[in-house]
Amino acid sequence: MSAHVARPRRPRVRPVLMVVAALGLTSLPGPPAQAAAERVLQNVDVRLDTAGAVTGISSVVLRAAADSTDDPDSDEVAFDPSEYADRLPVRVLTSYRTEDGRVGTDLADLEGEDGLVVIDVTVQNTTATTRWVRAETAARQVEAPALVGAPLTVVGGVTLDGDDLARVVTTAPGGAEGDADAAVTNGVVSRAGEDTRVQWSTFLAPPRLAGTATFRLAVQAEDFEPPTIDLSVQPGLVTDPSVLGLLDTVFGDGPGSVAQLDTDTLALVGQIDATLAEAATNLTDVQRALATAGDDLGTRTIDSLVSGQDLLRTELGGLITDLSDVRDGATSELDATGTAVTGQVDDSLDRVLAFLGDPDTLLAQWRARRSAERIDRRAPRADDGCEVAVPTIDPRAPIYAQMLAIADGLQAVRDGAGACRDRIQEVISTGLTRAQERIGDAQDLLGRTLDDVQGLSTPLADAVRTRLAGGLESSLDQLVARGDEIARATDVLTRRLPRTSKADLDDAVGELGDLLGDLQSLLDLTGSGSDLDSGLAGVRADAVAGAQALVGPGSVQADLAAAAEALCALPLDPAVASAATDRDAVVARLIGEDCAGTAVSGGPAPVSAGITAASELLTGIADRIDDPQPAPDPLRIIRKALQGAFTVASGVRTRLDSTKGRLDTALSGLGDELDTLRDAVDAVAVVDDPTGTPLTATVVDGECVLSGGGSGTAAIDVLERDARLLLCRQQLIDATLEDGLTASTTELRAATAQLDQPRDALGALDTELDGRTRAVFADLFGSLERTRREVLVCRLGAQIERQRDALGDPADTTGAGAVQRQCPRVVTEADGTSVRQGATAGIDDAVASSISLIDTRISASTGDIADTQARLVTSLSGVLRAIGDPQGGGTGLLDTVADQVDSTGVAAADLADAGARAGRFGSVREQSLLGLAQQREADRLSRELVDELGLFGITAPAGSTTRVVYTFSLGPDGDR
Amino acid sequence: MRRRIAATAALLLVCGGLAACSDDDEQVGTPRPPSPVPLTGSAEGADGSAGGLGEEEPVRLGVLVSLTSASGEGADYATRGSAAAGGAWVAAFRYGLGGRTVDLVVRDDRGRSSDAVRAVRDFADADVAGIVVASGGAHLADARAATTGAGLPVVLPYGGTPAPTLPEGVWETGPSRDQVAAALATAAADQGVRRPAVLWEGEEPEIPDAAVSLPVGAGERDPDAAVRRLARLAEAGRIDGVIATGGAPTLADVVAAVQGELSSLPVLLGPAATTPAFAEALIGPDGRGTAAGPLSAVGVDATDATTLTAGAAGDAAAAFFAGQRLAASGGVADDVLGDFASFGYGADIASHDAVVALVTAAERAGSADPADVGAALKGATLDAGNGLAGPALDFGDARALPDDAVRMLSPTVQSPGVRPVPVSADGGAAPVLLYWIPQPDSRG
Repeated sequence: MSAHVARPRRPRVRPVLMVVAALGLTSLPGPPAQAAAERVLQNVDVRLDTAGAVTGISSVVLRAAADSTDDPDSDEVAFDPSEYADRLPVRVLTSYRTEDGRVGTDLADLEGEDGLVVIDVTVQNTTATTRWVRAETAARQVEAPALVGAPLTVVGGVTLDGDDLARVVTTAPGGAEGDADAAVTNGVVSRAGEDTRVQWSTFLAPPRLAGTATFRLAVQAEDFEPPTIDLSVQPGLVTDPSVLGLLDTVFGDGPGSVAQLDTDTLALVGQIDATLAEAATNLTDVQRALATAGDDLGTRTIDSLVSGQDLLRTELGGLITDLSDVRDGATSELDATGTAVTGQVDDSLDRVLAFLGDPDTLLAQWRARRSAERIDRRAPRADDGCEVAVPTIDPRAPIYAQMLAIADGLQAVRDGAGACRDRIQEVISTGLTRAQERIGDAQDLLGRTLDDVQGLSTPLADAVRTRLAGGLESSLDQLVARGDEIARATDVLTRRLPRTSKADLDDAVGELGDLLGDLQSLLDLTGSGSDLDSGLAGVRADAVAGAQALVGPGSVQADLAAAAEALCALPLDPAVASAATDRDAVVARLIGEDCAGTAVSGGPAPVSAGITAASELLTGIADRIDDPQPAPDPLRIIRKALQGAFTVASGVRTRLDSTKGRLDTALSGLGDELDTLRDAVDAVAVVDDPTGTPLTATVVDGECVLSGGGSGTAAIDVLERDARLLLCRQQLIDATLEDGLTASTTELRAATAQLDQPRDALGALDTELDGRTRAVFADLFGSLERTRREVLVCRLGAQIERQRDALGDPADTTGAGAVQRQCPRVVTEADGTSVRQGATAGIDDAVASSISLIDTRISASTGDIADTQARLVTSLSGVLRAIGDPQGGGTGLLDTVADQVDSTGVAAADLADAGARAGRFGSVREQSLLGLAQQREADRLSRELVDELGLFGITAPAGSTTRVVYTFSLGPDGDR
Repeated sequence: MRRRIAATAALLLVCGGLAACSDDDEQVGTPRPPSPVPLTGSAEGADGSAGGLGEEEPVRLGVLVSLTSASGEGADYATRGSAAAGGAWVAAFRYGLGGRTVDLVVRDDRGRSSDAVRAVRDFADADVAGIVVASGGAHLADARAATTGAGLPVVLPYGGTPAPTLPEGVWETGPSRDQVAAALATAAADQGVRRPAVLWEGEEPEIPDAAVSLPVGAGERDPDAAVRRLARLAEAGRIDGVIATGGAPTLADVVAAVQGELSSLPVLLGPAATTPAFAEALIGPDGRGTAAGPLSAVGVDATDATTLTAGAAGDAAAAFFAGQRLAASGGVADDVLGDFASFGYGADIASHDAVVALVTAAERAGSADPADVGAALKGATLDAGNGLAGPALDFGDARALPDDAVRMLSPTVQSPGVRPVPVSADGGAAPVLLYWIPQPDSRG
């Protein structure tokens, strides 16, 4: 491989082909770093064979000093595909399938094919990377990874020889147009002279839009010839993919340029976007207010809606003001250029403002009407029922007027239906919500109690097993061992007597002293006022409090009774035959009897029964802890056993002391009391039977039963049995406590679940109101969407008209023209053609050649500019839909707004569902908002990546204006 | 300036469309072919000698799936309508395009140990060259042992085998349990989590410094209850993050519960979170969570998003998905799972590469005899040049996936658009997926 680099030539010299290959040369040397800024337009032409292999990469560059009026220079460079293919911003893949089910990737296989041929050209944006993206809401800020990639505009085209228009398949058999994988062409088919032309266009803009697009060509072939498919790829979201657009972007300037018009359009959209984002935030505030108004469903909910709507109306007024400013600013700028675009912009913005309405006028009218109505307003009657007189809202009215109508509607809801709504909801909802909260409190209490029990098990275990020098079990083992030692010692003593030394007995007495010390420590740890004692008292207190919260004065049970009483007191709707039965059924679900006080049997147990059962369980637990009969509390058992052990050990020591005294006497005397001494020693201990099984205590039928061990009745044996029993009972009590509390929790959960039925009935009251609110908001956002599209279509329509005018083709024969006719004042640049033609003589031949080359390449893919632009306008509209479509069900801005409205409705219904669920909803909702904020930030970073892409294989001085267009030619021509 | 624009524009009017205005380009350098969709396999024997398996000789492989199971016992990889294991069929299809017949013999063990053992016997009777176990969980222990007895080489594409060692002839190509635990611990530290709470199903991961570790799922604590307990601990400042491992349904329950109770805490998940089953459970029609929030999972950087990058890895992944799209329209079908178009939407690269490994071994051995295939696979190193669509694999170790291939991934609902059009199974809703992107190495 070699690199051959030539100096950029001056004009009027034939283009010199430069070759950039391997050997470490990654780009052509650019101008010195301190060189003056330039304007650079580069076309990178890529040849692909029928299997998608890159067989050639070449580049044509137009370059001029930024501040010079000289004509641009041009040069050409060729690159080694094996080294440079990975730097292309897209990957192009080919595949095909035939009518007989054959599939493959090399289009050359289709040579001579008859029947249906489906070719897929898949273009993938390969500029993506992951970055940490910050996002924040009012409450939180996060940093998370996101995929960002430079947005690319891709246009494709293919010309089929001959009159093959009818052979291009555009409709699936059976009319399955909705199937994106159907064997139909997904581009625009048109006639181009004697040939048939198919064109595609799309944006590859991850993460918001897909990073991959497939251009599909389906043809009913006869002796098929694989065609050459041309693609052009431009960084950025470009609505004018023509060479004129490119030249305008790089070498044009001023507010009348295409680039500037694009910028204006996007800026306008951006302003609307930002203002609507503010509106969305306000709706979030509404949702939050709803979510936290848990204790007063009626008045505060409506107040929150009114408050949020006021905020929204204020924001809408701001939006209108902003748009007016945009119109004034754009008008003055365009006037300064002397172009005739001013009228079009004015007209577009006027239409927008007409949609939105004049806030000053409308607000004044509204206030006057409200004032008059206030005078006539009658106080709502308590027996009005649940009628809500919502004013009729005219969907054709200006948006601001609709907002005011919403305010009227909300006011009507608050005033007109307030009495009925308040009365029912305050009595029932408050009662039920309180019951819900109380149950929640009880559940929390139980949760804490369970935790306390679990927590207590640790200090108990610590105390009994660990904290005392290896734990009670260890102490017990030591005790037994020491008892054995004592027994052995006394046995030896007995056998040795009268030769036994006094020191042996002294050792035994000393060890027994240590044992007594351990036992005393245990007694101290488990005594009154100890941690264990306090903890157990805490458990009992929680259980008692829980029981009282459920059934005592002012308890859940009392609230249920009050709610039932309120329900029974409600007047029945005589028009509903089953009203009394339905009401009694709800009441019976609550308290187990109907409004007449008759017990209702059958069906699931009432809520009150579950609460009573839970309360009884709690009371049982408290009693179990407090009452020594029939099962004393754990500490008393422990202390009793320890006391017994201490007493026994003390007795042993007393006897040993006595023995020792007798020994002393015997040793000092004649040893006549040997028999007496033996009796004393036997009374202290017996040696365990070494063949016996270990002594254990296990739980049988809820009681601790001893098994194994020796049969002796000596003090040591008694001590061991007591201790083993002690350990077993402590474990039994732990298990009993936990089982009881778990059962209580289960009962309460069941009771909570049964509250759903009356709560659902309550929730239905809100449904109608929410439905109306949503309908009004949907109209609002529908109007906004229409407005936005009209602005966009009119502006882009003007661009199309300008370009057609520049190309000397004023005829309006395309679908784009039909779109333009929606705009009353489409502007043309009448004198542009003559200006451009007059300057032809000043163009350098070589530069002309380069421009022609670029134009040829781009034209191959763009073909009919009007059609292409119409497609791109549709695509850009898709982008804007991604920014927001109220009916889209997506995650765009407007979707967010619409979603907020929906969420607001959901939140209102959720209010009756107690505070815990509302908090949960809020958390999830906040996550979604953070996700949206993160997407917006990722979009912004993606747009910045366009600038980072830069030129292909060459450099330009800092501050230069650069633009690159990639053209791909895929097909037999790309074979080498 | 406007004069220059007008001049160049006018030139276009004069010269535009005339081929005579330019010369044909001279093509230089070496062509760069795309990563091929057809897999043509290796023409060389294991020792580099010529030979290999005859093109006309088919390779028959067993594929063990669990169409139903308890959470964590394999059904995550065979979700109805969107089976991750569908990658195996993509590989077989790509070999078919390249001229090699690869037959897949499929058995469903329903997540039961006895059925899995029976399936291994069936595979042996069917003279398969090796087995791809597109399942997971403790119920496979006896089946793994049975494969050794039958002399069948086995590739486990999803790793995580709950055993310290693997029997001879069994290789994991997904993240191992140790790799998962290490990745979770490292990621927790990177995200500033000092006192993680660990919720686990199946086997408890070894996470150092875990503040609390609770079993969840079937037969254990309900995820909602566990998270409520974590909420109390978080309120007391005793935990600052959540790590969860286990089956996809349980992980989805944990995530949904955390999003309701502890939405600000980072959540780090085991590999099952990257399966279609997790997406279906979390954000599907019956899901109750969202993909938003500080969520990440252990996985391999070989996903849909990989195609949106330039270079060999992107090319290999792009070829895989191109193969998947072709398979969806190419009439591929299976007796157990049905039409590929209706089960293969969630096909993953892991199961694809498991098939590629076994077929490559057969080609290198020049034989489809399982003993020869196992011998050829042992010690082999494979990469994209052998047809793998994911990271390189080193079969010198029973845990064949290199440590550096294990990454933390983050979910997004934005599809890169590389898969075929999703088709609903049984007339139900079209499958949903989460798309996973690798976390950048550095912040800011």
